[in-house]
Amino acid sequence: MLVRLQRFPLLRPSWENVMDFERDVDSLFDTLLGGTVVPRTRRAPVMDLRDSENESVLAMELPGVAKEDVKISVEKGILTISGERKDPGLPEGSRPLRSEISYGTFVRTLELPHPVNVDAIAAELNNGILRVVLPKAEEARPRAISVK
Amino acid sequence: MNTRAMETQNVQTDALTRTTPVYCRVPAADIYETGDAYVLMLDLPGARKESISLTLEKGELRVKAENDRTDPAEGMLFFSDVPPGAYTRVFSLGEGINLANVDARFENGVLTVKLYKNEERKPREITIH
Repeated sequence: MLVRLQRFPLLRPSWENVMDFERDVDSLFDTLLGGTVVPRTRRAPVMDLRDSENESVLAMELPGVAKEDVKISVEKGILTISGERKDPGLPEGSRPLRSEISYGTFVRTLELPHPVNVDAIAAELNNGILRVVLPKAEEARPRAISVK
Repeated sequence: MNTRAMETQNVQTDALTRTTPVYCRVPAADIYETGDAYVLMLDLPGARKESISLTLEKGELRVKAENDRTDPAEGMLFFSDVPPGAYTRVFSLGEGINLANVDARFENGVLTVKLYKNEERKPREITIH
């Protein structure tokens, strides 16, 4: 994980470095301890980014978040996903025994790894996963160059 | 004959020195108690309803689920900070739970399990004569 993050420095906006450092340390311990993972709370939502010829697909974990509480915006090549996981609250007369799930607002930004056709960005939220399809702009698509 | 012996030995050494870790991911949980039940909420983003297994055995509730958030056919993975492995978590159940009556539903990546209390555990009003 450490290696992977360093290989794509563009994906790390500088203000997020502190959080990324924390995540690096955590993942180092995870690796050393053979995958012992402690339930995590209070951090930017985790995600995958896949890249193919014509588009990138981002998949972010947002369990318990309603569709209308997610906001996605693109500005100057920076994609921002923010929103809120609303606390469903406890029914009256009940008593909490364990609270590991964190509620409240979240935000994550990333520098787009390639120029994106902003008008064609599509997003859907299903089973707690936000899927954002980022179609590559014409100039970012691979082209064959003919040799003369 | 000699080669065969060597092969067998190699396999054994391989089994002893195998260092591939087996990953499992412990999902975050909220639990609360109401008058007649215990309610458990588990974050299982990326799981499909059909892939979740929920087993009650020997006083334990076992939850297992796969995380199918992306399809490898959608391209090469070039960034991920999602912990690897399938979701796994085991809860020990105390006395007084009616195991015959358990409700579970999965919505927006959150699994909610309702375990009802036995009659004698429920709060009762005592009438004064």
